[in-house]
Amino acid sequence: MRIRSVTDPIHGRIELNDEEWAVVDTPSFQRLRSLKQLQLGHLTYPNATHTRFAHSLGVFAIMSRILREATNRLQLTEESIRNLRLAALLHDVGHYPYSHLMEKIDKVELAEDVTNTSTKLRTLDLTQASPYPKHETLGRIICTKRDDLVAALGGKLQGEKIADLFTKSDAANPQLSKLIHSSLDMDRFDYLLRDARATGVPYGSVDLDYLLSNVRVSPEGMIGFSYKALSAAEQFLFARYFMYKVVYFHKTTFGLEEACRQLLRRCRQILERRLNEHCSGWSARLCCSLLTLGLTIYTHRHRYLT
Amino acid sequence: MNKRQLSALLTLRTLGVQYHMKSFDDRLTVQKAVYLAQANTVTLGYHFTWYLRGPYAAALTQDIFNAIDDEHVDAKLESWTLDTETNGKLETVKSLLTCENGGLDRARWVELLASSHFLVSNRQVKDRDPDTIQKKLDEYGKNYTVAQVESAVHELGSAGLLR
Repeated sequence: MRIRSVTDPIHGRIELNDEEWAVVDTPSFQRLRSLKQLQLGHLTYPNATHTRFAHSLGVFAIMSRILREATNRLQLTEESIRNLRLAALLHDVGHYPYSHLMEKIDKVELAEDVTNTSTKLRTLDLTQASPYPKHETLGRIICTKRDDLVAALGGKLQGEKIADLFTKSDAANPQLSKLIHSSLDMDRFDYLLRDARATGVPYGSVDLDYLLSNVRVSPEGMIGFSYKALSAAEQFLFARYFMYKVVYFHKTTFGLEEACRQLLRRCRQILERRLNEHCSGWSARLCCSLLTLGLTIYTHRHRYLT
Repeated sequence: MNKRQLSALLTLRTLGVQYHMKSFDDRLTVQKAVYLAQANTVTLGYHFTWYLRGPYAAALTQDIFNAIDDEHVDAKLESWTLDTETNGKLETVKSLLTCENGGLDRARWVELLASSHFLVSNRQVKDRDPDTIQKKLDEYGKNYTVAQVESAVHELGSAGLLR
């Protein structure tokens, strides 16, 4: 088996085997190169132009390390190790252009004030759920339906097993899927470190080495950290709190994202009249740049269309 | 009143839960009833974390207190109703709140339902075996018997809240 490596500023050398390399090489995975990790965050923090592609490789790197250091303690089979590595690599494959921004395009506006001055009975509709599935659900569709990934993973069934892990499906071992999505997971370790580095804020540091070397399994089979790592775990939670406060919920980014959502909704109204296609069909092929191009054309439409 | 406050109050009214929160048990029941409504996919926008008595959302307490500060709140609610689909989902939750509850009073029963659901859905327990859940609840200082937990898990499963 040939091992190939990618160099990353956070994790150094990341090694991938043939199968993992084949997955990275698919158009479905390469699409992540065009999806910015922090949506419109680069408009506030100019250097935050890193992508979901780099983040996915970062999560993969952390997962590889944890599996290297704790395979005996976790008592994992070869197949579980393979699936966990691939699930880490593919956990964000279903992200929309602009990542979470698009996911919330139809979020019910719960903060909106309501008034009913008439005595007429009015109905409050709480079923306005978005027709756009969460990115994990879209990721499952991509892993099981996109020919390139299905071929790279060795079949639809393999794709299902991997999607079970990153969607926290009941079919997956809950303790293993916890490594990808939980309060203290590989995804968060990477995005905190990467986003802090890219934005230049000093808050995202995590004592990753110490945490990973203290992964333990309790007698009941629960995966966690040893008591020794309590301070490192607490520091991770503080880092997360500060990153949300300073970066993810930055007022400028937040305002721009809402403006972008409103613009996208407007574009959709116009497009839907012309294209009768369902989102999951086209969104899997879209990227931020293409959407930005679309938005630019839309905002300057009078110049182009007259 | 904003849409979230209105949604929460209408949800509680539909569930037959007292939202004026005059006692501790009222406050506890409000929290757990809204948690269960959200668990049954009613979108109310609250984020619950584990607190001393199980799943808790500080924003919910704040919303309800702000809403009931208005002395005309009951009259205002009279002119609103929820959509049919949401009412259907809430009927399922309502039947859970009022079903056979292993001899517990309503507040303790609702606390048990919400806590068991939270532990299972947030992977705080290895599996949904009542014995495991009871031990975990015991660690958190909650005094429930295995039979009571079994009853809660069974009801949550029958209602489709635990799959």
